[in-house]
Amino acid sequence: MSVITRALAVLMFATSMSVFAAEQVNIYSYRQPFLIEPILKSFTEETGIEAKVIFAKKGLIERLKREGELSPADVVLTSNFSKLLQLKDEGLTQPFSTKNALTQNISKQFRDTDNHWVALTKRVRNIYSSTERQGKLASIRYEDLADAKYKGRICTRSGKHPYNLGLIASLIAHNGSAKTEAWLKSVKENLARKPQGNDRAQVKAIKEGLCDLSLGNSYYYGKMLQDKEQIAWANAVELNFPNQADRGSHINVSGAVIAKHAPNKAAAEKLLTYLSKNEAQSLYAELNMEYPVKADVKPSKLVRSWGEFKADSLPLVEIAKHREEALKLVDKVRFDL
Amino acid sequence: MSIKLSPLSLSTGLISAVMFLPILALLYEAFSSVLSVGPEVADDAFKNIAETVLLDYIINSFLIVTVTLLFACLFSLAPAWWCAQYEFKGRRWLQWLMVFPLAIPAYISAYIYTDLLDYAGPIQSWLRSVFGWQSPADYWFVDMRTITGASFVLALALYPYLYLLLRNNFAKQSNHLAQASSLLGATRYRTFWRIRFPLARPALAIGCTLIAMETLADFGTVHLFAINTLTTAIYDSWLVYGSLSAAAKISCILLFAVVSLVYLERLQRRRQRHYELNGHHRPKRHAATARQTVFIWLVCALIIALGFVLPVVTLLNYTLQYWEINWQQDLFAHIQNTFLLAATAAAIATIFALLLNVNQRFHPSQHNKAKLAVSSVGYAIPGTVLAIGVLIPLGALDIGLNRWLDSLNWQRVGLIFSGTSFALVLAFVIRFAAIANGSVSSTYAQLPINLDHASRMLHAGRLTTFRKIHIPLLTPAMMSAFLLVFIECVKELSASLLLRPFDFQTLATYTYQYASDEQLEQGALSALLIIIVSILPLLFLSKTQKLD
Repeated sequence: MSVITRALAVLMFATSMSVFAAEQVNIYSYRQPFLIEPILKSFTEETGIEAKVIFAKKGLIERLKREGELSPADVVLTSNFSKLLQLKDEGLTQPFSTKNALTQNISKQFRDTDNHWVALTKRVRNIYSSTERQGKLASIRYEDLADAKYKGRICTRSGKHPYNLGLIASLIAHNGSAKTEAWLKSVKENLARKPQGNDRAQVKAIKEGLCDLSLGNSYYYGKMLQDKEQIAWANAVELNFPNQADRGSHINVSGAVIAKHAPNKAAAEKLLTYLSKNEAQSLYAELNMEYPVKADVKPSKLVRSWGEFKADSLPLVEIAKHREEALKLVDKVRFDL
Repeated sequence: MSIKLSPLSLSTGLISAVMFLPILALLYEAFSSVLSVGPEVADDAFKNIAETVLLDYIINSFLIVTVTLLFACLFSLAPAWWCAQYEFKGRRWLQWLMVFPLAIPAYISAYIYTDLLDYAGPIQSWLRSVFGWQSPADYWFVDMRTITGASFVLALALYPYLYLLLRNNFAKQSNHLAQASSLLGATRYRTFWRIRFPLARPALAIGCTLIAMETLADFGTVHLFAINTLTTAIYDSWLVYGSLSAAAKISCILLFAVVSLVYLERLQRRRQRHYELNGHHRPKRHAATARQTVFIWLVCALIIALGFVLPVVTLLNYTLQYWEINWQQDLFAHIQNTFLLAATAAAIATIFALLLNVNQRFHPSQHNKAKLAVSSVGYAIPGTVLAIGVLIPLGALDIGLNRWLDSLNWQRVGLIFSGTSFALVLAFVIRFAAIANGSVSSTYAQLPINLDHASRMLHAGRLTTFRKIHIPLLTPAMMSAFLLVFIECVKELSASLLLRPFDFQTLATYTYQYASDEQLEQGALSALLIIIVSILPLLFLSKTQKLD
């Protein structure tokens, strides 16, 4: 018994004390640790501030809420736009100071009007196509996925995944609800299989000949190219930027907020500022092969090799207004069933 | 019904209250909106899900539980019978090997099986290359991403519960009823179904309930298989619709299903009561013929190969292929965390289970039975939802405590409950109490009440009876309770992920970093370590628990 009590004491002591150490910044992260660790390391080297991370894909916002004024979290890192909005809407954030270098580095389009959140990287929702059976489809539009000629040729992950919901919301914003519902129904008709797996798994399915087209973010392409086994999947597909002739491709962002009750607000501001600077922007984007939000920072060489593209300029806040409707449509047409 | 305020009754009351608190918090979350704003303002998220897909999800949940139970019975019934009733070469090994699949988290075998058997997986790719098939239309292959596929994998991971309970039961059944049955001219087949099987019903019921609860609460596996169930609805309404109250409402449907399941089963069994004394009529195992031995081994080896060997070999292969990414110095710290956490939670769960059961034994009443029941429902709640249930009261407690300290002008203590391993241990204990409770109560049920009476006649008090009679007889059950909970804690993922403090990883959360991105290859070593840490106690259990 004494072993157990001692163990427990050690655990509790170690974990509760670490939160009160001197210069540090505590991060709740929806992004996987290995994506952010290298950059946090260089942040610590530059500033001497230690970064501590809790990663989870579900429930961090709820945890933050329940911890209230005692929450140790300083910064929340998200991997999509809707979480940024949710954090602000639920009153869990505080504005960063407007004189901050952060606001100079990042243009208004990628910041909250009241400076409650900031985007850090852009990710594009692409359409992958089979090199062998479809070739490069430079002029493809998201709308084309509903075309009957693709019957049984399309693969995608769950319609309720934030990336797909974002896309559907943007279609509602541009084409209206009724048209989008019809579109979603037709896309479902065209699916080669029930929505499953992640974006990468769809490319694998294209390689195996199960389908010809899939929806997927572009950085997966880069990640697959770097994996000795998955490179074969990547080599079987073309990466297409949809809607280039009209409004441009749908983009989502990863971003950050400062928690309302951040115990180390100064450190949190430093971290966000650091993340908006050239060096971090290019490293942060490169780690996951995304696009930097700072205008004068170029993406990595590999990412540049995929070509220039036009991004949908409709503000993300406008798109986010249709998110709930998008969700209802997905359930209504029983997209995942 | 009189409630005596003895220390035992007080402590068990307290235990069940603490265990039920998170569920109460969720219930409050579910219905507070209705109470405060009136029922006419229906919860939008819940309404939308209920109108569109909820019925399908409920049907899927029902089907997946049914099929998983069928598979689990298929995997466990005959092997349990063989290991308990027959003597054959290697029996002592086999009876423990059959438990090994328990060490493999279902989310890992699910990943491995879908990867292996998918259209793009190695088996189908190989078949296509050999036979020159071009598309899915050219041939038929089993579709893994179905209810049957998911149930198969879940049953492979969960059947050991049923197997353990049944084997213990079969081994302890005395022979005299069966002998009487054969004397009266019944065939062995008839004797099995009319005598042995009904006697095994309590074990069967507890095992099936455990499996059903775990299946209902599962999210990781069904998500990988792209099956939408009630847990999908819970997560959708909470994380996508952003309504915790809708999620809590759907959790209530789930809880209701579990409670009625348990209640119906008990109702059926209510008038059956039989105690048996081990020792006197200890069954003797029949010697199996050579052919029987081969047959038994073949069947069991197949189950073990599917449930244990195949996943382990795959993980080994991944580990070697991606050794550089897999080998991390931090792993040692994660092993230590995992071990400490699991051991603490398992010890507490076992002590709680003992207290609750003793209380019910000495003071059998509806009230005390209810204490046991409410302390077991946590198993049916998906880990993340339970974690929120734990956070709600603990967060409030922390805030209240710190504000009170402020008012006294004392130093704040921070989140000492919700922000430390305390929350994690509590969540584990609540989630897996059902396993410990089931394990202890199934053994208690077999101890004749005459023992207690005899002890009382000799003027021994309850405490002495408990110490001298119950404890020695319950020790094996308590050990298996401890170890089973320990294993579950080692594998537990969702609650650990959300409740852990900064810089705190368990093997499961570490593995998840990679598995969450369908990159299990890169976290294969820590997945293997989960299995090793779980297997060690199993080996210990096999050494100490002598069933002969």
